[in-house]
Amino acid sequence: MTRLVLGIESTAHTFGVGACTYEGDIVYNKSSTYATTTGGIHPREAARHHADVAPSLIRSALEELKGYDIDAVSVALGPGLGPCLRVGAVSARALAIRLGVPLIPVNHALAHIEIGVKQTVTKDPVSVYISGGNTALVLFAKGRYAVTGETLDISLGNMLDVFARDLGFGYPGAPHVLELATKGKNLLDLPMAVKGQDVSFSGLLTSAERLLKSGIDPADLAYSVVETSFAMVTEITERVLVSSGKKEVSLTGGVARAARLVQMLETMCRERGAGFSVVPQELSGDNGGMIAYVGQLYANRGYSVEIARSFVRTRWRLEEAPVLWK
Amino acid sequence: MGLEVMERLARGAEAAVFLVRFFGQKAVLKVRVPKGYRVPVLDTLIRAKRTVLEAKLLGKAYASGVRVPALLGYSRNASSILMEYVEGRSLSAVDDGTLASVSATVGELVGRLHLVGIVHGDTTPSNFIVAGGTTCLIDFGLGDFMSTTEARAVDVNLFLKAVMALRPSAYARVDEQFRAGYSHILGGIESQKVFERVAELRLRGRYVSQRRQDFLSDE
Repeated sequence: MTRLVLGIESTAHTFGVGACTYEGDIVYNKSSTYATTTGGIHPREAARHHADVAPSLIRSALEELKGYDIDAVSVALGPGLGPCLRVGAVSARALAIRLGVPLIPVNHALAHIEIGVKQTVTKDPVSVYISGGNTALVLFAKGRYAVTGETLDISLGNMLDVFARDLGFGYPGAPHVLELATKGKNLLDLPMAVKGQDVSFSGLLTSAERLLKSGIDPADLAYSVVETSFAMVTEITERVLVSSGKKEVSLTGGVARAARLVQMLETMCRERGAGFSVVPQELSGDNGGMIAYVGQLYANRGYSVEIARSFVRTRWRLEEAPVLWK
Repeated sequence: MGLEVMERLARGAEAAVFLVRFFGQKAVLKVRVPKGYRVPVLDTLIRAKRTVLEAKLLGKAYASGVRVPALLGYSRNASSILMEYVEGRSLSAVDDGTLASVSATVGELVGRLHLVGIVHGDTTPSNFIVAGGTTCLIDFGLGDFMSTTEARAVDVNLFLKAVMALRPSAYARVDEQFRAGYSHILGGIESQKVFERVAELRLRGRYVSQRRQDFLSDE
């Protein structure tokens, strides 16, 4: 029987179950995302959603993977929202005990990065990790992944979600803003805070909110917010590309689904003579498949954690996640 | 027109820098190149704004007696800046002895810049040119008009951190000389505030490398 590593994701809005072979093929990837009609994520509500869907998602995964030999369970133990993380942790511990297999802790950010790197040619890109909670440029150096550029305040996805809320959309709101942006025509002059290899989006958001209240056309505003913020990210990516001497860019995270961002980074890389790859849609947002993928990398090296010590870590930094396969 | 391009000196992320002949004199032309990824309106706006800011920073610094390349001219529309060509060696290319001996001057230079309300934003040794008896600070592409302790501390820390990484053997002397020169210009009270913030910045950085082994398995 083909051996598999199961992966469980529950760090924020999504509860996901995935499975990956030891060859790195993701053979199973199902998830359920907590959404709202108005307002953002309430951690406790999201955790309740996870607890509601977890049993059936896990049961159907086990049912469908009957023909395989599950020999490890991996779980994203952080960083993320405490109440949400605990649902995944409890499910994974229970599964590991019931199946009698090792439990593998996976850093959520590391999973997004690795699943992106999997698509690259050089396997050593500048990773652009952009999601609802993160905006970070990541390089592999000295045995670990390190953030070389990031947002100094809110993430790009978070900024778009909050702006969507101002426009009256629920969560997740970023796709609505992107949709509205395609109808905009006039570019408004918004603050562009690029500091070396870092960016800041709070000034841009405040300015956009003020303009919205003053009665500016929402489509023009959405267009300007999207064009400006994506250009900021592309600019620091180019700067990191030049200063690091890397030859490739990998776009990963939920915002990797934004066509305009893909287009901008692609154009920049072409002008710079660098390679570019983007994570497949189904693996861009939070999902169990990417957790299983990294779980498999660890399992290959016999790495696991005692159940009694498998604590969730809400602020687990990427730099602190062990990388044993490079 | 009396401007002739001789060679390209550098191609950064944002701009291309050329050595030019300007009415018989060597000069440097910095051109912010158009970026295809930005919509044209935004691209033009950004390049124009930044060119004007950088030219103003250079002009203000030079007029205030800070050793930076003299501004010869700039064009908002062509997003380019023409400035004095400073012939000399980059501080990243000199030997340890020279580095230590000019460190007080470098500290004074940064102090003077901060005193007139400017921060540089990219004070790595390679942006200091040692020419004869003086040291000149180049590339104000990341600079700004700002007088906050935080921004000043970033400038000071960036320089010292780079020396620590590249020239550990010269670090102790460079650190001492740089700080002496810096506080000589900025004054004891102001420079102390900056140095305290530098210490804070380093602590913030340390958190990153602080590895906690909470749940690593016993192998």
